[in-house]
Amino acid sequence: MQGFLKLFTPIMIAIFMIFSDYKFSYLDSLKQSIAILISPVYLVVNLPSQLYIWISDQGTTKQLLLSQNKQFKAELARLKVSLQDHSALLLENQKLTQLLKSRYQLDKEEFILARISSIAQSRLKKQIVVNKGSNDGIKIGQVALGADGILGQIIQVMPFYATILLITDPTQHIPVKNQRNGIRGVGKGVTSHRGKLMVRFIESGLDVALGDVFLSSAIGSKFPAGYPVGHVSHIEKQANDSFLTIELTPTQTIEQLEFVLINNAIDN
Amino acid sequence: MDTQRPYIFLAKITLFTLIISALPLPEIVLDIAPFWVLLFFTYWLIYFKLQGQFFFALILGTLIDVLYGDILGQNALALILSSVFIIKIKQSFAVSNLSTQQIYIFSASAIYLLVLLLVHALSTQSFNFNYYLLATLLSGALFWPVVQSILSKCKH
Repeated sequence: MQGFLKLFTPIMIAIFMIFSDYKFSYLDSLKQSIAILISPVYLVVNLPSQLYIWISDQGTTKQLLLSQNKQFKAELARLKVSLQDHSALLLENQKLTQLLKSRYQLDKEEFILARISSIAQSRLKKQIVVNKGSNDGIKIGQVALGADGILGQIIQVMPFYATILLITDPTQHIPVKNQRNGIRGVGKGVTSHRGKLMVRFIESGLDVALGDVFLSSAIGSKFPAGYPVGHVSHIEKQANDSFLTIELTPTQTIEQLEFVLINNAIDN
Repeated sequence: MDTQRPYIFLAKITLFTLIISALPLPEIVLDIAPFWVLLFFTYWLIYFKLQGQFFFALILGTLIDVLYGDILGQNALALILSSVFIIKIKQSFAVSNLSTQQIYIFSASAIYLLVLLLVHALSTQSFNFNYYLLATLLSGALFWPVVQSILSKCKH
């Protein structure tokens, strides 16, 4: 009986934890405390790469820095020109919004720049770890963006690190709309394909073509509207299904990605 | 055989497991890498006789859950159930040759993976997974002699 209890009790505790963590958020504070306790592990693991970056920075020549500076100035000038068009469109949008008496307003967004430390080791979740944490104002639920589109959402915060759950994770749902015709659906990661998304709930009669770009839609979501999510790489119409099977390739992939922007305008 | 205090050795392997589990690796390597926590904990189970092994499995598994960002209790349950199997065959394991031990590790890894996949299937409501994960069973068995050799050196 005692032996049975010795086995049965930890099993029941583990099952209770799974159920509590999946359905509710009772154990969030416990998780947070354990995360803080084990956060030095990330410091140890990232030490060689940090050292490499530091040595690399120290070894950068003045000539290279001047050349990069020149290049960035040219890029800045080009972006300023694009921003003027954007500002004009924004002004026009605001006027139309006022005319329509709509309550929709664009948020004033603030971003925190973070560097990717590692791809998190979970085999079943798709997530990355960045080098900014609660000490830098990062909070759970904030949205992470890459240069080419939406990357994911913060799910765990430690003092110096944070974990981002990618939009390609099967537990992540993101409302999307087709840029070409505004057809809406819900994006969800695919477990069997790393780096792919499925768009669900688009009826088979609707117009979706290969190469169409899907953007984030703010309806019922924490994700900001209008950011690219992915482009259609495969469409299938199944005989016994009233919805199309649409596969998206994310516009923002994590290969070659070094920096991410974390939107801290969202108040949790 | 117990040349070192088991709790200190367990603390050491816990730290080592956490570090090795957090090492940044390419995605494909991540998918096929063995369950390090299972290999290290199996060694501890086999070579140290101590009460409360399942509670230690629960604690170690929970640490891995937080480190991986998995559902809390997922790795803990997988490690407890794999430990049940290892403890059942403990006598036979200790006297078996290396190939037989690798078969046992393969089986324990299969239990571990099955639990992970079942919990994942419940959370995503679909039993759909990356087939590369099946290679973890093989890599676990292949890495066992290496882990055993390193830990036996650390133990003395």
